[in-house]
Amino acid sequence: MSTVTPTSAVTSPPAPGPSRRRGPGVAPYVWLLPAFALLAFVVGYPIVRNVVASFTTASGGTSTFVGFAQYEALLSDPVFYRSVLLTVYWTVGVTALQFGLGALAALVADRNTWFVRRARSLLIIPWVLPGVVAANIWVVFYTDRGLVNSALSLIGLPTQQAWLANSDTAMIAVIVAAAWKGFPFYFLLLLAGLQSVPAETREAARVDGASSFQTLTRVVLPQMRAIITTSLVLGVIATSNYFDGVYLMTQGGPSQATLTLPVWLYNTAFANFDFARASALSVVILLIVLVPVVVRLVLVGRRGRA
Amino acid sequence: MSAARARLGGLLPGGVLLVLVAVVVVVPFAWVVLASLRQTNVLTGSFFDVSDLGLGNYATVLSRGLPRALVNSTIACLLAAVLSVAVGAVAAYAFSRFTFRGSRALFWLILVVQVIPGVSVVVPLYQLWASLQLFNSVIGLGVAYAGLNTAVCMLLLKGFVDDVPRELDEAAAIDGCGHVATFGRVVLPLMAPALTASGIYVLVNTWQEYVIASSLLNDPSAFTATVGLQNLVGQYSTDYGGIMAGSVLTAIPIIIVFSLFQKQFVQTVTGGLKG
Repeated sequence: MSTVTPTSAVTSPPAPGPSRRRGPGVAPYVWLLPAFALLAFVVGYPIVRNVVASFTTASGGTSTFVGFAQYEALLSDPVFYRSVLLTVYWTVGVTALQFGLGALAALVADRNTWFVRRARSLLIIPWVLPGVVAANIWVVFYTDRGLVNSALSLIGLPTQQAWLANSDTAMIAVIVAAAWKGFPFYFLLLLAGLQSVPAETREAARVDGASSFQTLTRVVLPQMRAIITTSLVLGVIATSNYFDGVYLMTQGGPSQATLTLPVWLYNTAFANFDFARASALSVVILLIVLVPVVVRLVLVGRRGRA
Repeated sequence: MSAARARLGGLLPGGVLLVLVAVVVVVPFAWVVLASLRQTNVLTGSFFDVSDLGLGNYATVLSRGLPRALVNSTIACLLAAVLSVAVGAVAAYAFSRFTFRGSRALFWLILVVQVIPGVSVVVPLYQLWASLQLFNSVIGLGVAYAGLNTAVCMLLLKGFVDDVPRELDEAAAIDGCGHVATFGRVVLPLMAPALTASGIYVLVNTWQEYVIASSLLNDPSAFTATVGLQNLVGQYSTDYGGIMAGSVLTAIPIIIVFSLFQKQFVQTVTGGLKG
C-alpha cells in the first residue's frame, strides 16, 4: 500500500489553539482515543504478540520459550541471504523501471491539451488495478503463446519462451509486470513536481538561451529534488514489501528464483505452518523497514528544531 | 530551421505519449477484453479474429461465486473507508487544534505506523482474528483494513484541517460552540471534499488487497473479489477465458470509482506527498 509523508507536519509543532481555551486537559487524548484504539488493536497488539512469538517454538499447541533460537536459525539459513539478495534485486529492478517509465510519461504528459488529459487518466489505470488482476493478466501474457511472445515475434524476435516457468527469466518477468502496474505512482508525483515549477522560471531560462534539455536538467530538476527523494523513499519501502505480484505469479518459484522476503514469510506461515519462524521473519522485515524510517524522522526532527 | 525544430519539439512528446498509451494500456487491455470474450482459442486466436466472441466465460465465472465475492469486497472496503476516515478525522482535529503533552511523540508514532507493511503483521493478525472469532468474517476484515489505513487517513486529513482558517474556530467559539460543535458544524462540512478523497483512497487501496484477505478468510462465502478470483484461478488454472473474464469483472468496479473521483484521488496522492 502506498503511504504519505507530510514533511511539513514533522518540522512544525502544532500551532496553539484559540487562546480563549485554557489548558485542554484530557480533551485531546479523548479525541485521539478512537484512532489509537483501532491502531493498537490492528497493528500494535499484533506486533507485540509477534515479537513475543518470535522467541518461542510452537509444537503441538504448546509454546516454549527458546530465546533467540529462531533468529539464530534464520540467520544461519542460506535461504535467508539468498532471499535478501533477491529482494534487493527485485526492489532495485522494479524501482528503476518504474521511475524511468514514470519520468518519461511525466515529461511527455506535462501539457494541458485534450489528448494529454485523456492520456493521463488512461496511464493511471494499471495502478488502481487489483494486484491479483494484474498478476493474472501477466501470467497469461507470459505463457508460451501469450502476448509477450506475439509482440516479440512481431518485432523480429520469435520465441517460444514460457517466461515464468524458467528460473532464469522468472525474476525479470515478474519485475517487468510489477513495473507496469506501479509506474503511475512515479508518473503522478513527478508530473505534479513538474507542474509545480512556475512557467515563468522556464520562460526565463529559455529567454537566456537555454535549450529545453538544459532547462530541464539545470532549472527544473533541481527544484524537484524533494519530491524525487520522497517518492523514491516511499516507492522503495512499498516495493521491497510488495507481495501480491510476486506470490500470485510464481509463489516464489521456480526453484526459489523469485523468493523475496515477503513471499518467503507467507510460505513459512501458510504453507509450512511454522508460525514461530514466520514471526521472527516478520520482526526482521519490520526492522529492515523501520530503522531507516526512524533514522530519517530523527534527522528531520533535529533539523526542524535547530 | 528553428521553427521546424520547435514544431518537432511539440510533436515528439505527443508521439511518445501516444505510443506509451497504446503499448502500456490500450493493447494489453484490448487483448484481455478480447480474450475474455473468446469462447475457444483464448490464447491462439489472432488479435483481429472476432468470429467466436460471446459472453460464455462471464456466465461461467458469475456462476462460480464471483458476485458474492464482489458484494463482500464492497462491504469490507466501504466499512474500512468509513471507519478509518471517521477516526482519522477526529484525530486529525486533535493534532491540528490542541496543544498537549506528547502530541509530537504520538504524531511520530503515526508516521512510523503508516509505513508498516501489511505483510509483516499478517501472521499475528491471523492468530488474533482466529482467537476473536473474527476469522472468516467480512466485517472483521473491514476492521483490519480500517486499522491498516487509519494512519494514512489521519495524515492526509491533518493537512486539510490545518488549512481550515482558525478565525472560523474563533468565530464559532464566540458563538458559544465547544470543540465538538466547532468540529461538527464548522470544520467537518468544510472538509467534505477531503473526506471523500481520503475515503476513495482507502477504497482503491483495500479493493486491491490480497494478502490480508487471503489469510483472514478461507470460507468461499466470505471471500473478497481478489481472493475469490485467485481461488478461481487455482481451481481452473488453464481456463484462461474464465480467468480473463473474472479479472475484468473484478477490475471494473474500481475503474468506475476511480474514473468518477479521479481528480480527488490524484490530488490526495500528490497533495499528501508534498505535504
